Amino acid sequence: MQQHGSRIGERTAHTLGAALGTRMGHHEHHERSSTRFLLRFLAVEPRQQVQIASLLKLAGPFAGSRWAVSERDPADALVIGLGSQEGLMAWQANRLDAMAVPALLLGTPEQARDHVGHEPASLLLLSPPFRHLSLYYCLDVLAQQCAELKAVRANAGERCLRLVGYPPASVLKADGQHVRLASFLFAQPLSARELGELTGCDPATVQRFLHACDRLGLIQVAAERRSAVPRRRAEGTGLTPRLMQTLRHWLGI
Amino acid sequence: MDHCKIVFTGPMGAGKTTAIRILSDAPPISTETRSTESDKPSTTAAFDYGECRLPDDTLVRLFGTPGQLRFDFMWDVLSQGALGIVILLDDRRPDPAADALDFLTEFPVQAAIGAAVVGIGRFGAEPGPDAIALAHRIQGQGYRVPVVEVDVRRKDDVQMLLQILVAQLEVCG
Repeated sequence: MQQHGSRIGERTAHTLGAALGTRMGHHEHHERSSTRFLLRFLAVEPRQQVQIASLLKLAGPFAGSRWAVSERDPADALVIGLGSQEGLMAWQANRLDAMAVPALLLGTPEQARDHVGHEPASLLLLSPPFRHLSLYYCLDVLAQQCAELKAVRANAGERCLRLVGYPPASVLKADGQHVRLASFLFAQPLSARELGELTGCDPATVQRFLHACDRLGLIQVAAERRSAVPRRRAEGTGLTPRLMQTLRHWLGI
Repeated sequence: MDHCKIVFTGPMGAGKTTAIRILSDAPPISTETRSTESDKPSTTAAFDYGECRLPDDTLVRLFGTPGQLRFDFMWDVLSQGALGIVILLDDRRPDPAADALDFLTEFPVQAAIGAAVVGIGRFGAEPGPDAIALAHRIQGQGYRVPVVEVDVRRKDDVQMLLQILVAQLEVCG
């Protein structure tokens, strides 16, 4: 294993690697943008079948995400692996598209022990509130085995999508871009391409947002394109295009 | 000079005064009186008023309605000319969804065009109603407005409510 990261990170990688029977290492293109995060990227090649305890979505709509961002120090979070470097960076940023990665949640300490071995001391070192220990195990190799995750990725096409509920913007630390994406898609069914055109967001951002919402169970394929909200401007509110521009600038959206 | 008006409404104790205080450039004007309906020592009788002056001199006026029903005559007055409404809910109350529906009914102009956002505060020790479930109940009555969890003591959360409200105005207006 290359010598990157903190001592704790190295120890963890070693422990996890031994427990899973895997070879772990840091991604060669990884950049050290934050010294607080323990395990940036682990190139993992499982030599044994890893049981998927439950998908994040099935563990409760926001259970995983709420836990993930409630930790005071990101170093408390134990991320074993992620499906892509792009997904990892999004997760680190604690943003709404953090859930874009195909995250698999192992919900209980017992499940965690099953997967990482019987070394609670190491785990406690990483995550003092052991009762909250959750492991995100996101590997491309596993994602490819999982039909549901394949379906998520298939949403990237031209199908018309709608939001069945507004994303938990405060829990996931959404930025202005995410708020606009959410409001446009909440109001009307749109394809990914249309959503990008309306909001001015690049396709990658749109895709991460859609995946995040899908992970939270908020995306449905729309049967029709009827707008969910009537477009009627309120009389007498004084809302002009200039005022709208000013407000958007003020609020950073 | 441009100006606009945003109204914070919701039941007593949901955090309207706190939200306005945290956003306002200057200490807000409050018309507080002794509460007769809860353990809360004081409550808003007429309205709260705060304001944000933006760099281009645009004035954003923030009004908070009284939460008690006996002051509901103020709601109609305050809603006139409002750009949109922020409905704050208290998860300790028996039925926050019913509260939301009551306030959406009281502000029909804004509710009808989606110029509204619902923020449900987390005050109790136990988990309150799920925001999605609450939103579904509201949608079931014909209102499609965003519902998000907030902590009105945090400026980021209150600003996020305004972000959502302005995004709603952009989309629906």
